[in-house]
Amino acid sequence: MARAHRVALISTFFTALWALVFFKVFLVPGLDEAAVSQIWPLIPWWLLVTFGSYSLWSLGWGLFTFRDCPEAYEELMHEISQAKDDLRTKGITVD
Amino acid sequence: MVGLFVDPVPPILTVVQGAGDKLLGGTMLVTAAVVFTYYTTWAMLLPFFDSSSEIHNFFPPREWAVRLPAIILLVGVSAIGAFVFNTIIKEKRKKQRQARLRTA
Repeated sequence: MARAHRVALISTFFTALWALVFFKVFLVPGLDEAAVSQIWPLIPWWLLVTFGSYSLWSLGWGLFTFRDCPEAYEELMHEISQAKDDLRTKGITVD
Repeated sequence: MVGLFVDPVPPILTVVQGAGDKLLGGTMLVTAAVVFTYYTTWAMLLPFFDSSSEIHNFFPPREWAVRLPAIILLVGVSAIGAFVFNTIIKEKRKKQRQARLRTA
């Protein structure tokens, strides 16, 4: 099964579980009703915020640990200008 | 010959650029950690505290724990939509201008 299918299946399963408890079809055993009624509706929003925080962390970490390599930079800039010239001769507009 | 050879960046500037990256990256890391911890406490842990407890003074009323992410989500999606829309309009105008130049 492809990863996308697996992810879709698992998230559908947990969404269904969440919805069932949200609409009071089931009750989560062993959890205090009052606290659950306050926390449960916030779970999707918490997931969204967690996803955003994780993304920000991930970007920040990449930036923080990025190693500069000046020769690769010069080589890359040269290759970019070569590629742009090549595309221009073939009639494609490049900034 | 069309196309310029880009001047190489002097080594001093690359070191300074690295510092800027580290600073920005570090800021993002700290922000992400703070946002996650604050929001988790706000949304998930506060209901377990007595309503007379002092911890509630550090947080806005809990309706905002839903409204804030909802507003940010709306604004974010609108911004993305506006950017996509803008890009499409620009490309269309460019195509019209090129078509006009060709027929002129």
